[in-house]
Amino acid sequence: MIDVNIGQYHFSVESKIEAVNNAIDIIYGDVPAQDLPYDFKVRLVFESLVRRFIKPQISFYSDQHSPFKPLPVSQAPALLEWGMNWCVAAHEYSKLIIHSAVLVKDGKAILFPALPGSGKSTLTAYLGLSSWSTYSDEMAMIDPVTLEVSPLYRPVCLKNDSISLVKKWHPNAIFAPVCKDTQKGDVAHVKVMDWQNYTQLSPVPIVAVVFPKYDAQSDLTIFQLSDLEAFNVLSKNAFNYNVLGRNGFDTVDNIIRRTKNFEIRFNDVREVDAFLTEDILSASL
Amino acid sequence: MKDSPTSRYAFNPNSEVRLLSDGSGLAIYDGYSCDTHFIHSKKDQSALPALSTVPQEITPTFLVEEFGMSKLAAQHTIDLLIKQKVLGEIS
Repeated sequence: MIDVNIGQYHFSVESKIEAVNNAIDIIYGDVPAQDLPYDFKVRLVFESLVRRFIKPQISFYSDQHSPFKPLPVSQAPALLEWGMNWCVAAHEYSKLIIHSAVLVKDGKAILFPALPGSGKSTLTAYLGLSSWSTYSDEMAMIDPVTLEVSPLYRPVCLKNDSISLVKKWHPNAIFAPVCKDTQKGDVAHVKVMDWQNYTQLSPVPIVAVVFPKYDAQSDLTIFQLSDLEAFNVLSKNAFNYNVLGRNGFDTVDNIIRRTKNFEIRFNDVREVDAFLTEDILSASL
Repeated sequence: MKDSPTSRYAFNPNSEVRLLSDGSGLAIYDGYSCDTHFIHSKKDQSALPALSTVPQEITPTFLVEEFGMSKLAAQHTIDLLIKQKVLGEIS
């Protein structure tokens, strides 16, 4: 059993796959051992003896649930990260969980909900390895009462060309090994903060919601969204919106009443950084 | 659905209606399905005084006057919300 502590949740991971254990050590190896109860017990296992030796495949289990189809063993480290995301998204009902990156600076959070291929993770890795704190690459964990967003100790999942791009921007960044030919293409997880920095983080208020869209042909273009557009997109990006019912509705309503909401198209992450810092953070109280 | 222009409709008892503060429309929580529906205002938001109170009833005329919809679009919106059991006709 390997302990994986992601800050708010504690996983027990059973795996005999060296690449998985190696990736855990790279990403979570600096977390000190703590005597905490487990929130989730997960396993990565071969489904059969045949699939252990012939075109080996691996399955993810959380207790007795296996939410994904088996994948080639070479993708096991990525499967573990996706499985851990699933555990949180499928079982956490005390917070509104929005499929969104969360970046924080000066005690103010900006949410980045986005579709796959939007450049969200590339932007998150760039900012998170620069002067921002990455509260999450995948899930905004929002308290319905305080409306504050909490940090998770997780890596950023980069795909395809963004892997080499982030390595070029941040040559000293720590990467888990690349998983080739997954359903998302080549995937690598990059560590965007160390445990010492994570322990300094606390829940913070959300000041803006920005829907990013990478467009190689477009300089930074900014569109202000109406409350209705922001409400619609934010609620559609929430994993547990319908489960929370009226509480989810109220939470989204309360968020958009307090935030500025934008859609941006960009081809340069540095321009986005300047926009966020100078136009959003500086203007918010 | 055949309605007269004077037909009135109320939100079902488990619904929750919010007036969006920038005047862009209404967000309606449907307590039966837990889905959220929207009525999008067609009016220029900068020209609004937005509605100040949440409407308890909806009529086609209300949607035309307050949200800038055509009569056809107003009736279609109401028909859709009735079909989704968000609105019910007041007898």
